Amino acid sequence: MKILVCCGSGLGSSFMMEMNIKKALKEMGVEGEVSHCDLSSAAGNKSDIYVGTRDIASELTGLGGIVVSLNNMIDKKEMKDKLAAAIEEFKAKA
Amino acid sequence: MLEQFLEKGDILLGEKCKDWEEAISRGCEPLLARQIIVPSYRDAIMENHRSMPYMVIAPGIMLAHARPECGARGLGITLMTLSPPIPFGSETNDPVSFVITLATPDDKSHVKMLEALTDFLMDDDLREKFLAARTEEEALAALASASDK
Repeated sequence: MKILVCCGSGLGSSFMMEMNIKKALKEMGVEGEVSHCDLSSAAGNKSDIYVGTRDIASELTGLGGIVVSLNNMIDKKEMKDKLAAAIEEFKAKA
Repeated sequence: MLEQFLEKGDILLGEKCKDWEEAISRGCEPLLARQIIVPSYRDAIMENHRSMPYMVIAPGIMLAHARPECGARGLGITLMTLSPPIPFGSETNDPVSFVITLATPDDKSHVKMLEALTDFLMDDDLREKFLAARTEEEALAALASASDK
């Protein structure tokens, strides 16, 4: 399972979310490859799950993966809940 | 941990700004003064924000940054609280009361700083303590207590 975190520049919020997602996956005991990039590179980086803050996420639909949209990047619960739902959806599709 | 990345003057408390442009400029000033960034970097942050308000990453929190090639020469961070809070045009996270300005000379140098920043931001108690600080000393004390945990 490939998870790609995107933001406008590819080195601020996406990087921070990547750290949090790696922690969350570990806590959930889920294996996954997590990386980050800027929005313009997202299309060339095929992934199963795309994650971004709300404004970014609307640009990620149509890339063929499941999109996770976060309103509050530092809300651990929101991130974990939405990520868990996306992982379930991914498993159901597989 | 975050305090080790801050120089004197990088914490600005209770700033009054008339709009988001002024707030971004103010947050950049200490980095400009030390030539960690050049003016084009500040302009690039504004351009980024105008195109999409995605850098308002959480309710009340703006993570102002641009790409290294926009004019970042070194690693730096400033933390600024706004009083009163200012609208930044974010649908879900306005108004902004905390502006964090980041600069990194490349894609990797800021990893440790971002880790420290993430730990700080995700700790509700510490964040509140920092936001309530009235002096730079109090604010630094809040940050330093984060590293004790």
